[in-house]
Amino acid sequence: MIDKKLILFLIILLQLFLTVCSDRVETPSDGENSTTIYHSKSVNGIEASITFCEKIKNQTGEPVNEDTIFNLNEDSKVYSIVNLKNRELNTDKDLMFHIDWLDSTGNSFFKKRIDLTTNDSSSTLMSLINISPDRREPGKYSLRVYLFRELIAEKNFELVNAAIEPQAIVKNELIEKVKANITLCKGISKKTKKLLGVGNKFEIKDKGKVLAVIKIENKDSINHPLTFYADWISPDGSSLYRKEVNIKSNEASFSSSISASPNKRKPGKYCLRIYLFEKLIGEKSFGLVKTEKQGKAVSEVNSENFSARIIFCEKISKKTGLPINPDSVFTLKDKRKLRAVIYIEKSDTIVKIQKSFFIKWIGSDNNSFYKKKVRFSPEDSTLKIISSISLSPQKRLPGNYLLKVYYTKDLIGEKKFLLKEQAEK
Amino acid sequence: MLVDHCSYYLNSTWEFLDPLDPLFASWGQVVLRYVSYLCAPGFLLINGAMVWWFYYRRKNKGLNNWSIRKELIQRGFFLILLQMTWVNSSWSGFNRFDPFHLGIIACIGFSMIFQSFIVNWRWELQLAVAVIILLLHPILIKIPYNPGDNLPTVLMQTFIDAGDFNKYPVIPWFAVALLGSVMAHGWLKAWDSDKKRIYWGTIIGACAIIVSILIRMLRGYGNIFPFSDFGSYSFFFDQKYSPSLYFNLWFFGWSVLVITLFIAISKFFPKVFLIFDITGKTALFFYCIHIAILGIFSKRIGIYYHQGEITETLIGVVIMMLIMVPLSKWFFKFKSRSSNPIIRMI
Repeated sequence: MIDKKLILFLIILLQLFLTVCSDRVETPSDGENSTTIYHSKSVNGIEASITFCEKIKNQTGEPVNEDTIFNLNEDSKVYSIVNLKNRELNTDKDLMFHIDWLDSTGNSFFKKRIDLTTNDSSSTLMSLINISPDRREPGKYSLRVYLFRELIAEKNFELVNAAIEPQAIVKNELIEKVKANITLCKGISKKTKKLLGVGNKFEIKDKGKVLAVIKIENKDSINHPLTFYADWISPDGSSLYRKEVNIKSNEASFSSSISASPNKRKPGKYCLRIYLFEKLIGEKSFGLVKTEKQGKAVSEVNSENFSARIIFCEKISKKTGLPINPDSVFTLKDKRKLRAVIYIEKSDTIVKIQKSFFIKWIGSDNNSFYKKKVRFSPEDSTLKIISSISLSPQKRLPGNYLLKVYYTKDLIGEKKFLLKEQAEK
Repeated sequence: MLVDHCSYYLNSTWEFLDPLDPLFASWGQVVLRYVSYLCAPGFLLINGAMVWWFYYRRKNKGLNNWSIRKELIQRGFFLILLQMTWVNSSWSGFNRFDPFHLGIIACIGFSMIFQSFIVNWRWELQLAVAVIILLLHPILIKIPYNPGDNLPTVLMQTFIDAGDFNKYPVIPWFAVALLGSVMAHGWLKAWDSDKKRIYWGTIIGACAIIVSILIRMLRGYGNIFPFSDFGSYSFFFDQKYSPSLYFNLWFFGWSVLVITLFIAISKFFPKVFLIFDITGKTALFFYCIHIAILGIFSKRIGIYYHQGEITETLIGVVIMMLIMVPLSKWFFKFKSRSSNPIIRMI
């Protein structure tokens, strides 16, 4: 009888190994951004989409020059941004991610582990590699994202050697074929992406600028990255700013801008010239004129749509996620932490876009000692940020501190708190 | 062990696999790696049992504690020396002499030395020491040190943590060896029939597994890598270097169950494990020679080094068994006739 029970027990234990299951489906599918996605078997499971870009905006964290083909250049980098879907539904346990960069032979050359704790509301992951020619070879590369060591997403990108230029004959053909169509404007609407204030006369004013959007005609037929030069010419005929622009094989436009502030520019006739292989392929003149009223530029960032409510505490309930014993006065002590729970309140009219917030902890000396950028994916409905600092006396001095919360560059909330010394025993 | 070592040399996954934080491209690769996770706990468990057996056999012959202890300490130092000389060099196919790091053989050596001092204690006391060590290790592992500082690194990685200097720290594995000593008390003394060995082996193994599952499910003390859900493969993949409390209990349980299964099968089909019998009797010889062969032919000469996949690894295992079984047989006969103390220690 006992033997039978034991055998049954053993079978149940062995079943454990047999029922080991993957959280992901075996067959991947193409998803957003051409990311290969291994979907979760659970409806609420985490999904990931990958974006590659050359840079990331400091203030907003938005990708700059998104692409899948990059030129090998000194000091150039490829950033990968992994947007996580359903992050807000998976806050009950720590999440262990790995970002793995693979070279053209399929071998991993850089791996990064990122653990998102239950206190961390981030829904994006970021990793970058250097793509200087002495470090990387041209070829097809890929990035894999693992969750709990299981592959959840993969995306390829290509590194090309910008130093390899077309032959001279091809060069001449290109110069004949390719023309630059220049449009001058004051800026681009962040919401609609439309050009603002298109024309050839611009006012000199604080924070003013002239932006040139250059469309390369007949670029579609050329499957090769090209290097252009945008040369801004001052009224006296001298070059005031020359910019080198590398564009990818799949790109057909780029932009360049100059400041139109009074301390940098004088009224007069200016010109923008576009060169390919040092041959002029497009030119446009424009005038800068004085204005009588130099009003303050209106911020296009619609920060009034957001406000931040900040609560300080030392502990957060694991069950409810709510702060325990909120306060604004805290005692410095080893191994203790001060946590800020920031609720971002938004107007209902906000469209579903990626939102980036910026937190600045400011010390008693009025200097910022810790900054954190938090990005929310368009799908995130509750915008809650948790950030913490140590209360160790070795790290903090007693005094008045401040926490500021920004949406892009605009302050949307701030709150003071006091750190005091522990009373002597 | 042989599967994992063949994989290390022949499988292209190992070109960039980080054993401390592994990622795998396929399920086959996961299984290939995971089966070997049973080896280190099994080695330490059996080694602990063998030390117990060695002690009582000598004791019954009338030797005093200190002379037995001296023999065990000699064996322990021999293993540490063997690790630093032959084993370390053999990994590269003797391409370089690399004495300044440790590994599983040194860990067994240290455990043997430590165990020699308490092997004569009552089994309950040894069990208590093992449990206390296992419970304390998750705290010890949090001791901060800079891997760039030589002395703290050597001390931490010899005894507590894992890294480039040593992947098998002595303290947690010594606890497993002590559990082996406790099990030996049952296997070789208290349980006088195979039926009892199978019964108690199953109970103890299953209990260890259940306790380990409870620890894992609580996601706190005794866990190192987070996991997704019960039954997912991240659930089973906690840290091996150095082992978490969950890892040690889980694999102790499975090692005991596998040994119990072997006892059960041997009872009804005595000839099934003959092939392992001879390699088991010359385990250290097998370990030292198979790495040397793989190191020389694969890494140094370059035969299929990191070029294959799962199939090539398994073919490598078969070829290595065909080489190693006759070699082990020969060595066993040679060892039986030899009076050389070093040969007899291997």
